[in-house]
Amino acid sequence: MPSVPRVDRLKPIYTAAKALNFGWRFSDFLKIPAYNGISRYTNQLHRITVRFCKQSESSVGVRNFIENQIVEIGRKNPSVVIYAQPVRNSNPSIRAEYGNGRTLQINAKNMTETEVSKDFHLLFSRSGEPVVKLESRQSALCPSVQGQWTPITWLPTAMNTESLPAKQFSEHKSTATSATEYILQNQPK
Amino acid sequence: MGNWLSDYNSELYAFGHRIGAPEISENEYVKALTNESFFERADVEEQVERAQPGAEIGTEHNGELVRKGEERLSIWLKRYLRFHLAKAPEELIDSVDSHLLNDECLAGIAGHLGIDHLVRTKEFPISQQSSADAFRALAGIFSDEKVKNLVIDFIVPQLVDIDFADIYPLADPLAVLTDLLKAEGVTEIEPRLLRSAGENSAEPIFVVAIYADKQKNVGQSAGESVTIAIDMAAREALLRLWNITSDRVLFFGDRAASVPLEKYSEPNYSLTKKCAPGTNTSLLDESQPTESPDNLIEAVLRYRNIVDAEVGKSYTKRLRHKFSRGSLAKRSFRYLVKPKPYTVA
Amino acid sequence: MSYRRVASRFDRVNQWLQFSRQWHVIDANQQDAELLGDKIARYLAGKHKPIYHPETDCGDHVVVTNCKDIAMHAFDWKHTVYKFNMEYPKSKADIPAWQIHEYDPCRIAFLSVYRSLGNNLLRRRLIQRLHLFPDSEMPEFVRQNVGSQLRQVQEVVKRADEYTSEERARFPKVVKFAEGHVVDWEKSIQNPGRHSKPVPGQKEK
Repeated sequence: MPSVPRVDRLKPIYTAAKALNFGWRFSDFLKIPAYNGISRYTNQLHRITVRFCKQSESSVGVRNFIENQIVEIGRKNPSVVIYAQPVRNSNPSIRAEYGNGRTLQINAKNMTETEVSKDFHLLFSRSGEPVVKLESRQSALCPSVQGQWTPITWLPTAMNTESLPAKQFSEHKSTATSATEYILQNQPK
Repeated sequence: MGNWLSDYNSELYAFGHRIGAPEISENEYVKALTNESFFERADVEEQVERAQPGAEIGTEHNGELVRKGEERLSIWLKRYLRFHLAKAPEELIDSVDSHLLNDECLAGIAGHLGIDHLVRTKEFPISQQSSADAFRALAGIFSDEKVKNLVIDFIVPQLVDIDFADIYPLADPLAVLTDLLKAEGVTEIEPRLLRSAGENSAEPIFVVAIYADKQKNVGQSAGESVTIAIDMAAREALLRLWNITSDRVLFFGDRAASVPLEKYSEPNYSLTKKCAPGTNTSLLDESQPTESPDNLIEAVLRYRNIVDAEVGKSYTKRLRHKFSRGSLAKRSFRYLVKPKPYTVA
Repeated sequence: MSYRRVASRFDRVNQWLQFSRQWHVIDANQQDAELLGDKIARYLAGKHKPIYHPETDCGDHVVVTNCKDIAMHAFDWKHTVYKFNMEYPKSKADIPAWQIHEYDPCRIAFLSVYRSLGNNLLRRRLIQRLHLFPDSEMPEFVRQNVGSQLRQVQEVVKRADEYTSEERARFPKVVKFAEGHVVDWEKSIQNPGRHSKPVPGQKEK
């Protein structure tokens, strides 16, 4: 019995996970690997491995899936290699390897055939980038169309040539008409 | 967590489809993906049974294909660049081409295509050069049309992220600009100071524009000092002259494939030939780190010697509004000492 | 979008420009201290910039000239009392604004801006970027630094004796005056000076 009871607290797990290079990150901007989709879209999934047990009940869905659907999927996606790996006394899982080197694993224990099929197709659609909360829903190559603000954007160009301080830039401007201005505008007869 | 399962033939088949050339035979792929060092591997040399991924498949390496593919990639990329940067000099095109087809870029693309798993080589992990060479070798085995697609689909999208002023950093952009504008008929080229603030401070800012014939603003930029601002303004003017602006439209995908790029095989004009013989058209040496443009020590000394001597310390350092009249022993009673402005304010 | 965008030399100078510190100059002649203080504090904090954030330290420098001619509304020169030393019990000093202005012409402007900056930790740093000069003279290095001018807060009115006789003649006559009616002083009156209470025993002159 350890002297200090080990309690799994959420906080150190959270801070530790934020520091991991390969762990999941909470939020990030949208990233695409290798400029995929700008010119040509290539499926980032390279190979999928379905690990299952030939005997146990938890792999029933996976076994049915392999029997019924896997060949059709393989035929439709010739750029992905699909491996079916029987492993004794193990939890069935689907492992996917992507172009950016990451591997995803989905535990398929006690899944039905349809559920396995859904997850399989999900893995085909992903790019291998970690699932993150998007910092912004907008992502553009061009950061600004009208031009970004600078302190000199709205400075009057007449200030360039004058030596400051000059009287014409100092005068207070107001929309209210003063009495003097009013009389000058509406001259009495 | 790697997958130790690997069926080489299946992987090659899938790779052929992924790269868009499934019609090419497996043997050709194997040849392109075999590095010279593969045959020096201990297990292959001794002809060990079932040496991964199998020496019995192919006995040739990709050395010749690498050279061939490098040329073809470069030809197509330069054609594409000449189409889009029609006004740019050939030196710029060469610079961009060599940058986009360098080992680092190609190795990155190769990695994302999965070539790293397929290359047969002695080294582990695979080196950048071998990975890039494998990609080049693939361009060697493809047909011309497929190489064009390879360039348009994988190499060209990197253009969205590169800055042309950094790829082709001229050492003396103002001199080059002057020569080019004079060739177009402009008589007077002068940089003029538009704005400045904080000249004698630690954070100065100068905005300089280069004017042609005192009328047209050909390039404008800001900078930490006047020299930097002039330099950057000249670079901006050159990019504008060559139509390399942020509103340019690059063709990708089908749009690029439908352009007759073969017509752009002739090199563009040469900058060295167009400029006067004395003009320096060499590039900056970016390998050495440049000095930081801020002048901290100068600013501190200037503050101490000039500014402090004249205006003294700032109010917050000079005043103590919450003043203390001294220790308990020195303090006299308030009714005796009426506070005056010159004692408290 | 992609991983590899490296900061270019243009990115560097554009960022320097966007976050650059400007030097503004403003004339305090006949400007109300409170209104002027609000305006200057706004520029010192950087609130006039769309990139403002209190932690960015994006404020500008402000040079104030003619501080000795700063104005106050109505009787505020007498009624505005500045408290000094609230630190110890029974040690308060309350000094009216006119006395402070006599002693240091720039101090009222300083106190006004200091107050307008708010009661927070930032104002000690921001006030260091305020440069006050009692008249229109300033050191050469400050004059070279200045890059922009701010508009005044109030209209500057002319004194009666600053109008030329042509201007008076040009102004339309609204009221018909009798002959010899004194409209306005043509010359300014001598400042009678500060009133000093006679010491008991002495006769007033």
